[in-house]
Amino acid sequence: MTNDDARDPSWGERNVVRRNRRRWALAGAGVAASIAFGLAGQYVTPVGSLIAPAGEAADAGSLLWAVGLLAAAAILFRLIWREIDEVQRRRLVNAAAIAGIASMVLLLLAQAAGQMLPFAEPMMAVFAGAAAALIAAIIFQRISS
Amino acid sequence: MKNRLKVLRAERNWSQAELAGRLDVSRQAVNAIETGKYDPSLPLAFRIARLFAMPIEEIFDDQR
Repeated sequence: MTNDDARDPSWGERNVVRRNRRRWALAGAGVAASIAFGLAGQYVTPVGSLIAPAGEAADAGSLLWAVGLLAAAAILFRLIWREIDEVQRRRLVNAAAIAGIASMVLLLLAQAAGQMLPFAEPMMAVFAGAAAALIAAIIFQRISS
Repeated sequence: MKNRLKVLRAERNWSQAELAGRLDVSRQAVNAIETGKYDPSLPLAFRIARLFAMPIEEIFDDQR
């Protein structure tokens, strides 16, 4: 903030507008990347097939897709982490901790329940449960503040 | 920890968004600090003190 900025009575609100614009741009980049990788994913072998049988090389296209997806997610996460402030970072860390604990509990439950679970892929149910806990924790913290 | 952020902001006729913009944080952060739900980090507390040209201990008080 310069001295001119300090004297401007609405400099702060304009800064908020700029900040929101950057956030919308990041959200747009996230959506665009999701669509791009989703479309590209139609042309590669499913990720579950990345582990090639012994003696065979992994499919190069699938490998490239998976590495690209991870790189894009890491870059986007880094940009979002830099853009948000310390309160939002704290909330995100709290939510991640809750999701981690939820996944541990759900994993134990899934293992204990074994074949009784009505899911073909119990690990996907654990993942979905942890993701739901993450989203719920973010929403709860946002509403309760 | 109690603080006088809301009073200081009102004295200057600033909205929460205006203060948030000047501190380069979100409006939710200003609200969380004002209501005592979040204690700011030392760097942010210094930014707040510099913005209001006051010592930190005149804005934040852990005794009350």
